[in-house]
Amino acid sequence: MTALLEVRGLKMHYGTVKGDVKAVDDVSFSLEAGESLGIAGESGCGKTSVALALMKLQPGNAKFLGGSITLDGMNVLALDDEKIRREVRWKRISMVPQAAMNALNPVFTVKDQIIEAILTHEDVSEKEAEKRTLELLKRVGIDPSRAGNYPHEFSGGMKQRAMIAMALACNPEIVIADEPTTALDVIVQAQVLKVIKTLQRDLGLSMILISHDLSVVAETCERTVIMYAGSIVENTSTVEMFRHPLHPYSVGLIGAFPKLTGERKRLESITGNPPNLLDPPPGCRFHPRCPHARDVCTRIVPPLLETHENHMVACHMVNRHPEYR
Amino acid sequence: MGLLSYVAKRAAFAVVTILIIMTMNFVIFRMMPGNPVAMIADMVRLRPEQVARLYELFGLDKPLWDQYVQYMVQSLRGFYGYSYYSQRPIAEDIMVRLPNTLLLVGTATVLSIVIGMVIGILAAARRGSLVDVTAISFGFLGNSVPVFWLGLILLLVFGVDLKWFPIRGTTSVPAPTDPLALVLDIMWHMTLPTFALVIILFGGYALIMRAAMIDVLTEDYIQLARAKGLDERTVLYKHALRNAMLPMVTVIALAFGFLLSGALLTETVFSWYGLGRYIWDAILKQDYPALQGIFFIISVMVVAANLIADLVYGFLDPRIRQE
Amino acid sequence: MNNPRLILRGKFLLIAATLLLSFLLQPMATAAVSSSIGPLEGPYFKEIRFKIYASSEAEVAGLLSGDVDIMDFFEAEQIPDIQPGLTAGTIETAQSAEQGMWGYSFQCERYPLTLTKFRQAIAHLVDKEKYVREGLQGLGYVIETFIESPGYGPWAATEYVTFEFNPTLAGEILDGIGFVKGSDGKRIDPETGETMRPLTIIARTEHPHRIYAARELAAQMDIVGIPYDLQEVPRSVASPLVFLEQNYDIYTSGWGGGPDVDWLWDIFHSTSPPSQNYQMFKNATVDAALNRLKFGSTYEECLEGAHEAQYLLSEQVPFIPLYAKAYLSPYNARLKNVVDLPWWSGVTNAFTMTFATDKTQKYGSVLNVGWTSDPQQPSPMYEINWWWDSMLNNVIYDSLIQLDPTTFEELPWLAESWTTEPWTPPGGGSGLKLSFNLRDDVTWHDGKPFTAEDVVFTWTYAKEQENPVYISYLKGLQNAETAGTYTAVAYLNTTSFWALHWVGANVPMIPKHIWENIEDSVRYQPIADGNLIGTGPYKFKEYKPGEYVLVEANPKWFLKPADSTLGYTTYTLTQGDTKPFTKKVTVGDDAITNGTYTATVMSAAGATVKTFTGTAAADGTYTVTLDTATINPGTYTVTVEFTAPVTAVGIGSRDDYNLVVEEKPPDYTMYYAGLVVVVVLVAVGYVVMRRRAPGA
Ligand SMILES: Nc1ncnc2c1ncn2[C@@H]1O[C@H](COP(=O)(O)OP(=O)(O)OP(=O)(O)O)[C@@H](O)[C@H]1O
Ligand SMILES: [Mg+2]
Repeated sequence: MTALLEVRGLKMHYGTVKGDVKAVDDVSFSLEAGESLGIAGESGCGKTSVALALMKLQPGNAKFLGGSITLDGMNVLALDDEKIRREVRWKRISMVPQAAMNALNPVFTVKDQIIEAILTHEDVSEKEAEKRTLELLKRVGIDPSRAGNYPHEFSGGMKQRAMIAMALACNPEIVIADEPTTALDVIVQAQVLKVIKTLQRDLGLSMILISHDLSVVAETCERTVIMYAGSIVENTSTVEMFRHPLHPYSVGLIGAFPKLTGERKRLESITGNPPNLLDPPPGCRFHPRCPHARDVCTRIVPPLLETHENHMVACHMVNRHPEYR
Repeated sequence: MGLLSYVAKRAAFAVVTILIIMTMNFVIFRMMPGNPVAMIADMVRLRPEQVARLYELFGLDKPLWDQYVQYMVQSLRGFYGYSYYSQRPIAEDIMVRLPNTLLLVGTATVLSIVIGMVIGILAAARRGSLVDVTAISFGFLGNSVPVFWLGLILLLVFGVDLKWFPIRGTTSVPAPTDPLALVLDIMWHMTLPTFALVIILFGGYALIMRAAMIDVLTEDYIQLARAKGLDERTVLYKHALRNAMLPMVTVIALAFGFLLSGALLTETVFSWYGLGRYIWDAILKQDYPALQGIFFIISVMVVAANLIADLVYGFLDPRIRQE
Repeated sequence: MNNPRLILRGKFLLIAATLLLSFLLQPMATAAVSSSIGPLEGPYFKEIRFKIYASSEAEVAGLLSGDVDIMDFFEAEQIPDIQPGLTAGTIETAQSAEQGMWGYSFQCERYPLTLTKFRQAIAHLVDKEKYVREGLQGLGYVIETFIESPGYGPWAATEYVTFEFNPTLAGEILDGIGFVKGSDGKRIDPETGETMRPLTIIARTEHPHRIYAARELAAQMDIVGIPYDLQEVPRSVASPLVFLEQNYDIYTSGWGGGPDVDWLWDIFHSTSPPSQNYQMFKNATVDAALNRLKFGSTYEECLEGAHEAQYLLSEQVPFIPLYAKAYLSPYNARLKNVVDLPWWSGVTNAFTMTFATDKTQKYGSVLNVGWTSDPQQPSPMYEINWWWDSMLNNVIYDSLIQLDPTTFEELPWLAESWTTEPWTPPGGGSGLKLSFNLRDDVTWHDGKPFTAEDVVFTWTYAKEQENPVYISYLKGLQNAETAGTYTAVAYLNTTSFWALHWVGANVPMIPKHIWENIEDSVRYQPIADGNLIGTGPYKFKEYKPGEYVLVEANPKWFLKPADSTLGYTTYTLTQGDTKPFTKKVTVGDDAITNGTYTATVMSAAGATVKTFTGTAAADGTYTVTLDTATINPGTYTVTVEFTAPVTAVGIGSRDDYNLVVEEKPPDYTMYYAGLVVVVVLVAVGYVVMRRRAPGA
């Protein structure tokens, strides 16, 4: 049985005057129907780039250098723009973009922007679309009487909810939520996360949740992927990830992560800075910061291998250091 | 603050602005060297009693303060005095020329705004492409060509050599009597000046539009609009344009504010019987009351255009409407 | 006006005789007035279109494209612009010296310019040849005296004082009158013993050659040590200083004179107003000479006065004549018989408009005149001689006497002849009685006859109204009266040789029936009431502000050529149209059916273009149909002729018409259809877009 979404060896670089930014390098993962997947990693590691690639919304200077994205057996990368536009975007994959605050067009009412999404993909009357919009808004906890407001009349949390309602407008199979809560205060953050979680479960959605905040991923997702400098370094169930991280980077991250629920620990910070993706280090990109790095790490890119059951990791040293288990 | 008091405040500000402009208008022209009666006297060698009569006609025999009060009162009543040159009431001179200017400059302005906007949008959408580079270079070129020179070239090529378009005027000599033929005749006469104006003007609008669009196109809501599966046209013309229009509104409003004076040289090259040519003549002949009158009207129009821009802003941008 | 001429013989002899007699009795078109430029007859153009251009560049473009035949102003510097037309032979030029001059005026009431020697010294600083060579790029002529241009013939002085270019000599003269050089090289004023005050030189910026002359003079003054203050200013600044206040020392002035040289009096006579004699020159000897020039009662006396005045002025130097510009006047090569008047805008004058014609079309073509200004208030009574108004006035109004364009001799015009007799004014002294015998075939443009009443009215009205333009001419008018319908008499308290010109040539005749009710003649705008009515060769037709003025030929003008077709019935047909002519011929009760009835279309040049032959019906009705299908658009004459061999000589008739064949106008239905299609497309497009653009 194949997964709903299958990403294999995806390689996408950005062309700039200074050279190529190797933002997505050999990224593979899959998403089952109804599954919720979290992608975590430091700022600038390429999370958003991956998400945008899934809808072929990459910026103009992006270049696909290899790999495939298969949605339900259909190669997304090979589709022409018109087909993607009509059949993939919003209809099958929708998203709550990273800057959801600014993602609503200031000159149209919230309601109209959601109606527009519905009318674009479905042959329904405007009335019908409006009815559905109001229901959606109610569902994410927005009073339908506010539907005719302009975005600037909404609070940050309301905008976020409205974005979520919009993402659900066309009953997509997959929703990508890119940092859905970053700009919100802790209480609102919790509320929004709850909405997302409930909806995902109730509607049986597949979801990719992107965050640099591990706690958000931990709370929401069944499965967690850790990215570092354009590549996936570890991919396993959330429970496993937090109990037994294998990659030295994941270990560092999770160590540095203050648990919402648990008591505060001293931050075990990772020394050094993430590499410049214009000119990443050869071999394992993490090696300059890795306490366990050996000669091989500086020369050979470690493949992402299922070293333990249902647990994939990209590290040359993983089996040589059982203390990490 | 309610919308009404907002408008009232703006309007009051506008009135004060106009009064200040009027005063400056008066002061500046009184400070100009020379004196019109002497010029006429030179032209035709008048006798002293005729000179005195001209002084009286132009109100130059009264003390400066009286002249100022008279000027303010009359201006507000829509009387701008007599042209030194035609010796007719300036308001009349302006009124007969106004329709021609509105027709020519209005058409050209609308055309160049539309063309400039479309080109600006396309250039922004295909930033860096051949379309972008070509359009923008032509825009710059047109913008920097001296209009008098361009007009003469057009006249010589299309008027003298090819004889496709007339060399002068608003109508043929004599003007056709059949109304439809007259309309076509006027359109035929309008072609070259409109063309010249559009060449000069569209570049500016295209550049501003392009810059505004490029700004807006990097906004997150544009990416979202694309993510929603909207086609590129809807993204550009609905989502991006509406926002990019905000800076354009001021530019467009000002363009209409300066409509009357916008085609000084164009009207002169093509002998278009409009206000631009009137201003040009008045400058050459140092017809101060005429200039004063027309400056006053232009100031009022610019101030009014600004007010209108504010209102349109409110219509386009709900954030402003709220305040 | 059809001209049926029945030619009859035999039993129609009687009718023939009657007709012949009536034909002979018809007033014949009067013989042309002979002048130095040939017999004067006209007009030949059916219409003059004064087209208004906002820039002289566009006007030149119009000249090149054929939209303009003659233009109001043309500067020699513009020659390169018309080069294509000159090369192609579509433009010809008339060239002459400008009748006027440029020079330095001295404010002779301001010390040290009060000193003749001082002015003479400055005259030695002027290198006229160089000015023409460099300041005018050679397009001009050096002038030595005051009425010099070739056009003035004998009026030019033959003896005058010249001052060679010689700065050293100038320095010596200055030394001689006490203006010696100080230690700083500047001249000392002998009255104060200090450096003399700087002389204000005013030069107007709109003419580069004036600036050139002023700077040249300043440079020389530097050399000889005369301090100066050179002010290069626009007209608006210069005019009040010079013409109103006479607040200057040296001014680069210029003037142009008309044919009557008594204008010299206005410029230099001590009683002439300061706005005219802005030199403030007052010299009794010169005054006496000028008085003889202006008020001498014989030609010889005036001539002597003119020569003497010029000699004295050249010696006194209130003004240094420098140069006259070369005047070049381009015109469309299709014109012939253009008249070049150096004192009136070259070829663009009333003589050209009235007596020139088109080379290929003698009658009925259109003359296009380029103007760079609107008229201001066309009226013979307006106080200001606005250039463009004058151009209109000159073709609409006539005076009693016309001056020959080159010899300035009097030509009979509205007056066929005149007599000058001595007359003693009631208060004593000597005066003149001028009697003008008027033509009896002149009518105003509105059809009313022109009589001596109108002449007397014009004189007295202009004088009573103190019309600024004419008052100086009519100052001496004591009384005016009619002597019969066609004789007008003026009594003047002067015996001046010029008096005949003052009342006869300089005052245009206005219709009494229009102006007798006008109270303020100066402010009155006859154009607004359709009252721009004169007797002249052209009638006012239309004025569209900023666009054009149209005047059309006056078919009744008294110098209309005998064969003029202007004013015949004109048929205007669109190419392809037909026009039938019918005629029924019977002799007694007999229908004549053996005649021929033809219509011959002739080009304006007189070539037969096409002849149509008619058919006869049994009842003697002939029909000939003129078919314009194969006739090119243009202006033609049509002669419809009937001849029948009824008697030994036959009978016949002939009618002449003007024919204008116009191009088929464009078919506007296509435009309408196009418009509808566009509207529909836009509407459909809009609807489709709305459907496809989802959302709000
Ligand atoms: N259009 C672009 N051109 C060039 N470089 C880009 C472009 N977009 C992103 N990048 C670079 O690619 C890398 C990955 O960016 P991306 O936005 O995918 O990171 P991210 O993981 O989403 O970061 P964050 O958590 O801050 O949102 C970064 O180094 C970024 O600077
Ligand atoms: Mg991101």
